[in-house]
Amino acid sequence: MTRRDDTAFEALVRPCVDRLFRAALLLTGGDHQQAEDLVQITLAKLYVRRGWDSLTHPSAYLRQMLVNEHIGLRRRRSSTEVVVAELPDRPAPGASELGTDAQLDLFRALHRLTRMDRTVVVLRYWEDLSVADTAAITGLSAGAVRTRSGRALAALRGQLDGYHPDVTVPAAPATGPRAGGSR
Amino acid sequence: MSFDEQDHELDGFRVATRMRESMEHVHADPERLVAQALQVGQARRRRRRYVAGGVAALAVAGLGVGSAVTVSALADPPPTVLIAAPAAPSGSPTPTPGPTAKTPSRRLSEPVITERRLPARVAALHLSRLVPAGESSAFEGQQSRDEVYVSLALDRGEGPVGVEVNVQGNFLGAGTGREDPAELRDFYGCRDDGYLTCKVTRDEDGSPLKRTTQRVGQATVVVADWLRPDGTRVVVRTGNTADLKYGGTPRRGLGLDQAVAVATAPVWDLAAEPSTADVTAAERRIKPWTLLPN
Repeated sequence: MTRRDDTAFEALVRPCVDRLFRAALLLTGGDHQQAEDLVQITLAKLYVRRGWDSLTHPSAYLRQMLVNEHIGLRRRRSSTEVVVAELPDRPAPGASELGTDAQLDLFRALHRLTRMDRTVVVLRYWEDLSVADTAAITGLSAGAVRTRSGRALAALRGQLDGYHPDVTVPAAPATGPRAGGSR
Repeated sequence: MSFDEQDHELDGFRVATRMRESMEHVHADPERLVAQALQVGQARRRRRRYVAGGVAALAVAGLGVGSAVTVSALADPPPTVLIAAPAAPSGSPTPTPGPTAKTPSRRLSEPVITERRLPARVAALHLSRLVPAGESSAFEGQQSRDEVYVSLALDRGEGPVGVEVNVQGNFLGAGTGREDPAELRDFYGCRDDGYLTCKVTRDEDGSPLKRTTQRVGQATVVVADWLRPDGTRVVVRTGNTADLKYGGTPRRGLGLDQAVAVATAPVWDLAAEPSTADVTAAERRIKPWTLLPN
């Protein structure tokens, strides 16, 4: 691959990296190192893949690759991954002082979910994907996505209890789309 | 809307808001991450060229021109996506040229690819031979170091039905002695996912075989999921519809016994080299979305 290709690759992926990293950070439950690894492996895999220069929607493609890689880690690292009750107090670089506590609470709560539940929650509520799209990306059935989403939200409710965003929840019409519900 | 639905919606809304607030000030270092990814990617490409070059040199030296064609086909570098299905597009960011400065890369723990794995097109051929006679087409496949996925449409004159096989190596550490028995028991259980039917049996060696049926729209999807003692997981999904994910027109399809027969066939060996006796040169040239010999 030529230098010119490298430059084209950088131009293609750079606009996606920030959002990709944030998703990776949530998927890993706040593990900054692992999130960087995920992003790096995802980008590297795209680089060696033929046809990346013809992608029309690199961000969606990279998101799919990131989730595949994250889910794949379950198999590859299952023997070394240790589930801990408490996440080490390690603020993510770039976090403001004010945001650290809330962020750590969120990461702790996410970290306690299973990998797939966490993936479903991140796709549904961070990436704002529908149940069908989440199912397509994760390979789960729509029913399984709903089940896992409900279970994860119930767990997060307990973890994040007492948190009330300073906004008004919009009242959903009876037949309209529901924020956070099945689509 | 029920109270449960309202709760669910409120929880989802809170979590989404919390995520947005928490991630607002988190930013990546795109320059460093892209530079490191480029270094890793370039190293991977060099490894591929090295492996392909070495194999090709051996072929030229010892096997002659005829064999070289075969080896060249084997030397297609993994992982290879024959047909990739990217997620639904969510917008097209405008690419902007960025600086190209490189920074030292931290070594990743990715193992070096040292052996050839089951190619997706060969797996598709295996699959087409294991299903009942008919016209197998619309093959798509994806392969990586430790996984192969193939899907094809089988048409016996009544419209296509889908058949998928996914072979995964070293699943949940099974076969390595480091697996978590509780996790495996939980995975090969019947507590989740709203099955119509679910049954798990175990071979004498303890390897679990899970048979499930699920309703997907108007159609029925059957799944045979076998975890072999060596840690290889073989999952076969089929049913009475072409669209196994979202369902579709029900038609005469494949049943659970046929799915089990495919899953337990002795051909799903990720580490095995496809021998020239099993795969002809013509079959090696099979491209995705073409009819398969059956």
